[in-house]
Parts: sequence; C-alpha cells; structure tokens
Amino acid sequence: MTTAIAARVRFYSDGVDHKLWQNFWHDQTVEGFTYLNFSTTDILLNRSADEGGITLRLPPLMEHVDLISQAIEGEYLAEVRLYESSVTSALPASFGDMEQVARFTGEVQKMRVTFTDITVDLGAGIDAVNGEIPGRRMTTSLIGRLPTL
Amino acid sequence: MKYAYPQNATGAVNAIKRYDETIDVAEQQNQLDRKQTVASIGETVPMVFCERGDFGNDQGENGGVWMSPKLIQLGVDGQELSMMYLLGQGDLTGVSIDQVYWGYRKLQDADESAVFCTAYEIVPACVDLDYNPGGSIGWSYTRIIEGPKGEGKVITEKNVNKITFNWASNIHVAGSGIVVGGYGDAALIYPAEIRYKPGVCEVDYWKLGYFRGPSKFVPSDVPTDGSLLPISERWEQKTNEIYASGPTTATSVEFRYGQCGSTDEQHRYTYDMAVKHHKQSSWDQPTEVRLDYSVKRVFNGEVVRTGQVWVKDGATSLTISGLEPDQYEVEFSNTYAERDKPVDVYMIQDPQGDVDKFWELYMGDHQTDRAPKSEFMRHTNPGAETREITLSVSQNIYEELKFPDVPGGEGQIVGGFADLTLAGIKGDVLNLRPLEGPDYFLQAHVFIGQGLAVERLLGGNGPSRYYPDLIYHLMKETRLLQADQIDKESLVAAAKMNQAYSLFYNGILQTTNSLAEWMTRTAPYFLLKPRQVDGRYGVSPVVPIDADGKVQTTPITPTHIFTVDEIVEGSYSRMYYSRKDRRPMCLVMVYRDQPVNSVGQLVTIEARYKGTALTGPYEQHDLSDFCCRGEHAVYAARYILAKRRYTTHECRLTVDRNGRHLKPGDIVRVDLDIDTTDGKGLSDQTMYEVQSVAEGQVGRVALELVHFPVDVDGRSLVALDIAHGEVNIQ
Repeated sequence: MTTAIAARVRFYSDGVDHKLWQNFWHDQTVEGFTYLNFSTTDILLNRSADEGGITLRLPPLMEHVDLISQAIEGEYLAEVRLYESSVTSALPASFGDMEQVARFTGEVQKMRVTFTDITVDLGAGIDAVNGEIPGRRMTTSLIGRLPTL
Repeated sequence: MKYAYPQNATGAVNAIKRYDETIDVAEQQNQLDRKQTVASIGETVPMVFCERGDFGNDQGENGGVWMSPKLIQLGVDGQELSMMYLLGQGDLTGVSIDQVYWGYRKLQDADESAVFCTAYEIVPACVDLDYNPGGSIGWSYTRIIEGPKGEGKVITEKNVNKITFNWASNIHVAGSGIVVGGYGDAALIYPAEIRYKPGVCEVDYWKLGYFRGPSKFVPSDVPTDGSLLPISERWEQKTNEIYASGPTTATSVEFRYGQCGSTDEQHRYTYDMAVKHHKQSSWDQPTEVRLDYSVKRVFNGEVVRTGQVWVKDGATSLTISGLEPDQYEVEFSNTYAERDKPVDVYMIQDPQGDVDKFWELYMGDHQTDRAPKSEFMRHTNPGAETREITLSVSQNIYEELKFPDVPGGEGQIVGGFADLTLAGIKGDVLNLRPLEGPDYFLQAHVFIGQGLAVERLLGGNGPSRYYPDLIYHLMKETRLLQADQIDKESLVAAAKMNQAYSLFYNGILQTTNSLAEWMTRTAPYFLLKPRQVDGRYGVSPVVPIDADGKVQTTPITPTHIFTVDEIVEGSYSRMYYSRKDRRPMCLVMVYRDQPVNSVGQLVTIEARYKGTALTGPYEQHDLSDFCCRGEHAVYAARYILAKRRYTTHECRLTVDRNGRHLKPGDIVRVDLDIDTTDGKGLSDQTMYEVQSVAEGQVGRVALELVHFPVDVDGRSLVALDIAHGEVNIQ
C-alpha cells in the first residue's frame, strides 16, 4: 500500500491570506494553494507550555526571502496541515480526497538563508525570554521621575 | 519526561525561596510598619488579578488581595503630604479608605484628616504633587525633649537644623545685713555744775560731747574722752531738739530742775542712734547664672558653635539656628554666677570732734535709703541662693526629599500612566510621619477586592478569579501569542472545572516570570496542566472531567487501545520511577486567609495519607500568592499526593497513523501480550495519559505516555482521591 502525504502552508495575518503553498500537486493550484517544493519537520503536540514549533524548508528564491521577511515584520501566522491518503489506483485530486492527520499554527519568527535553501522557524513555544509575564515594566515615561525617601 | 508537576525533589527549598522572595504576602503580616517602598525603574508593573465575592459551594464571601503599593510620586505643601502609588495595570476599582492601612493602623486612625482616592491613567484628584527636577522639597517639624538642669549634655535627633532651648528657672539670692553703719554714739549731757543765783535759777550745763564707743555700732555709756564745754543757749536748744527728734531709746530720763536749790542733781540723756543711723536690711533678688555651651556633630565630633548664655530667673530662651541638618550634641558647662557684691553700707563719718558735724551726720535722714532693692540683679550681694533650672529642648527637624535631576534638561516629570491605576493619599505630614515612632514614612497597604478587568471565558468582561481567565489574558492581551495560537476551548473547559471546585486565583503578579515556567508551576494547583495542540496553547484538567466540570470518578473509556501489532518494532520502552521519588510524604500547603478588614494571614495545613509520613519527609507548597481558601489547598494536596503515590512509570512508543487523532491529555490503553523464547513476556493492560504526540511525514506517530493509574473498575485513582480523598488533613 502506498500512502500519499501532502502538506500545505498558509501565511496570513488578521484573517487575510498572504501566501498559500502546497507541496503535492506539481505545477498545480489546488484549492487556492500553489505548488512549491517545500518540506516541514515533524509536528509535535505536547503537554508543555515551553515547547513546540516546526521548521519549513523552502527553495532559496528571492521572492521567498522577501515574503518571509515581510512575514517576520508583520508577525504573520503560518498554518501548516498534513494530509494523507492511501493510493490504490489514482492520486487524490484535492485535499478533500485526503485525510488531515496533523495541523500546526505558529508565528513566523526566524529565517535562515543559504545558497541551497531557506529554513523558516514557525511558532516556537512560549519561550522564557519573550514569554515573560507580566511583561510591563516601570519606566519614567510611564510613571514619571521617581522620588527618593 | 515532560509532564507538569508542581515541584521537583528540591521543590520544598524552592518553595521557601519563592516564599522569601514574595514581596507582599510574607511582609503583610510580619512587617506592616516597615518603610514605604519606592518603585524602581525597570521593575514589573503589578498585575492584580482577583475578584472578591461568593465562592459558591456554601463557602461564603472570600477573595480579594491586600497589596503594599509602591510609591511613585509625592508632594509636600506645608504640612500637607501627598503620596501617589501605583496599584497596577488596568482599571482597578472599589478601593475604599476603610481598607487602607498606614503601617499597622488604618489610615484614618493615623490621620483622621487623611483622604484616599484612586484614578485610572491620571493623577488622583485628591493629591497635590510637586516635583522640581534637581531640587528638593523639605518640611520641618518639632520634637521637644528634656535638657539638663544646668550643666550637662543633650543629644538631638537626626536632621536637626535649629535648636531652641527654653529654660524655666527659679534663681534667687536672699540675705540681710547693715546697709547704713558708722559710729555708734550717744550723747551724754549732764549738768556738771549748777549755780544758783538768788532770784534766778541759773544753771550751767556742760556737755560731755560725743564719744566713740568700743563698738562701731553700739554706744557706750563710758565716756572716754571729751571735755566739758560751756553750755550755751544754743546747746540747750540743741539738746531739746535732740530730745524732740524722737530718740528711740533713752536710758535715763531724769531731768529735774527743782527749785535751783540743789546742785547735785544730774540729768543725763542717752541717745541710741542705732535705729536711725545703723540700718539693717534684708533682700531677695531674682538673678541669673551664665553657662558656656558648645554644639558639635555626633558623627565626627566637629564643634560647630560655641557661646555663652545667661539663664535668668523666669524664662530664658536661646536659639541656635542655621545648622546643617545633622545630629548634634549640645553641652552646657562652666556655670558662672556673680554673687560677690558687698553690701553697700553707708559709713557715717567720724565727726572728728566736731559737734556740728556730729549733728549734721548723725541727725540727717539721707542715709536711710540704702537698702538693696528686691529686683533683678545679675550681680547681687552675698546670701543664700536658690537655683532651680529646668530646660526643654525644642528641635527643629528638617526633612528633605531630593528629586533627581533630569538629564539633558527638560524631561518627563510625570508619566503617561497609560492603562495604570494610581492611588493617592493626602494627609498631615506630622500625623503620617509622627513625632513619636519610626523615623520614616510607613508602608501603605490597600485591600483590592476587584482586580483587573478581563474577558471572562465563562461570559462577560470584568474582574475575575478564574485562573484560566488569567492565562487567557496573559496570552492574548500581552501579545505573547496571537489569537489563533490560543486554545480557548481548553481554557473554557478548565474554567468550568475550576468553577465546579471553587479553585480561584486571588493574587498579584508583581515579579516577572516566564509564562511557560509560571504555568507549569502553578497550573497543577488548579488541577490543570499546560498543553499545546496544533500550535495552540492552553490547559487541560489533570484527569478527565464530566459534563458538570467535576473530575470523572466513573470508569474511564480510553480514546484508543494499542496492541502490540500497532507498535513499531523497537519503539517501545517503559521507565519506572524511583521509589524514593514516590515515597509517602507530608505536604505542607501554605495559603492565605483573606479577611477584608485586616491584612491576610498565612495559614498552613499538613496533608498526608493516613498513617504515613508522620515524621516527614515534608514538602512545602506555597499557594499564598493566589489561594485564599483551605479547601482549594486540600484539593491540590490530594492531587499531588495521589499522583505521587499511584503513578509508577512512563512509556514511549511509536505507532502508525492510528495515533494521529490523539491529543495530549487523552487517555489510552496499551495491551501487551508477548511471548518470548524465554517464556511469557510483557503481558498487561495499562492505562496511560498522552503527554506528547509527534506527527511525522513518514506515516508514524511517536507518543510519550505517562502511567494513568486506575482501579479494577477502570476508575482513575487520582480522580477518586481528588474527589473523595483518603488524605488526612491537619
């Protein structure tokens, strides 16, 4: 038995889609998702607040660098979904023919570019540095000059 | 192993450390009268999260939190003191002056004129602030102490810039003495010869004249010198005048003229002139003494002032001003008094045999006004001195608050106060910083019944006491996560469970924590665990719950049952915990009793399984940051003890796509029935809770599982103990 596995990613912010990619149907746009040869790492679900996040690997095109740069600046979210289906006679024609097996939504946070690929970190967990609460600090612009007693 | 657990093996130590670092809770009951804390730039803005109200489950009203706000601004105008505090983020309401303490006393008990007010994003209306960058504001108050009774030392308070000494004294000199003196004299007059002339009674008088007595003042009746002088009419007249002048004593009055037939009669007069001419007088004069003084700094002994002061009868005052604010020692020494003035005696001159002078000197009246006057005299006659001196020292204590200069000139004096609630107290500086008591501003304490307004997961907006509401707020409002990254459904379910058990959060976040660490540490106290599913963060109950939000105490139906056939070969492993980590122990749960009319008190309960850990080991769990109900602490203790007692191991395995529908928190069962060449292999059916699910693109799902202990009926042992715990509470 052969299993078909498809992944798709949606970059969006405030409910507005910025880019839709799928990596299964070559040179096709399926349900609005254009083809791109990308891959993802495993999707981890856990009982922990400080872990999570996946990595996308993209071709090193300049337009991708521009997109991800814009996504980082705009704090875009990226929704990654994994689909699969058993292949008996014909390949599935759309995601509707497949079963969703995993989903991950994370913020576009980091990008690393080489001559051979672009890796994008999505939605790392609530890390100890950025995830401090309460995050607000006393500043002179907030509370003024402080007296001494 | 990645599962939430309140504390590790050294948790008790950590808990104590956290307890020590907790600002309010520990100090509220131990040091209410500590010095007011000033906010520091860079520290965390407090987040007050609480809601006082009916806790439900017949537990009455509870909740709210006492806080000790940080001072951020002040002003002094005369005796009027204004202090502004930062209460916290958001719009906090419902704080009344009845619930404001100044040290250990209610604010209005400390100063009945004091007012209190709060404001959101603006300076509270009741305060009058003043801020002068690079300058200072100061105020003075007076403290009176007793000084030495004459010579001696007195040490002032600190920051004294003026000292006023007020003496009340009784200084008198009393004495007596002769103020007019001279020669004691008597005039002895007698007829030495009487000659009779027929028809005429002619008498010749002879005057012995004056004589000097042996004593200066006492006349003698023994003539020692002199000569008879021929009598004359003039002398006769003089004699009569002497007689008429009223001598006070006459030793002999025998003057018979007879019929001039006798010649042996003598007539003698003795005039004692002591009264008239030797005046005795007494006096009682108020006077003064002089003291040297020196003023020197206590710190280094530097003498800054010296001088002299005359302390007189009645009131005397000395003010030493212009001192730099400091603590001084003032010494009075070298008492000096002028008491050596002789009595001013008028000496009657020796007439030197001149009768006319005698008459003139002794019979005149001018000598009799020489008595010392009974009025103030610095330089007095000798006598008995009365010296009673009391001294009160009025210290002018100067307090000054300096305002840091603003680098670069004009700067931000008052902050923007965006989304902050501020509190103000205005009162009499002399009451709020009393003359008697600590030499500093006391810490203010405020009871806040209604905390930060948030979106409530169970509906509406406003203050909340639900831990999931707080998590949701922290994740959403602080922009740590975007809305699509928050597992709101799990938070709603968790809120229902907390509501069912009245597990409430009433506390202040005022030290910065990692949200992940904070959730991992605190969620189990609310019978919750953090989790991440599909990139969305939330919490889920530690055991399955039913439709009422209560822990499920009926048999658990596993989400999936795995058999050996589904497990990828070589992926299965089972790791048992050390018995040491599961040894029975006594939990010391610390929570906060939260009455509204007084500051909170820490309360501890000991929780252990009956008959176990009677002498330890002990593990302390500090819930005082947020828990104000004993039953809450008991629920948490039951969970921790049950999990420790029954959970024995964890498991890892990899399966095919059959595991793809699992989520963290799901309950699964692994049925093993393996035969080996050496005999029967693993053969059991064990329930597990899914800890993590790793979805790969190769068609496999890696699972991390934690033992989920159940009884023979499939009921969760942990859930049963949470609901009907056998735990012994003391």
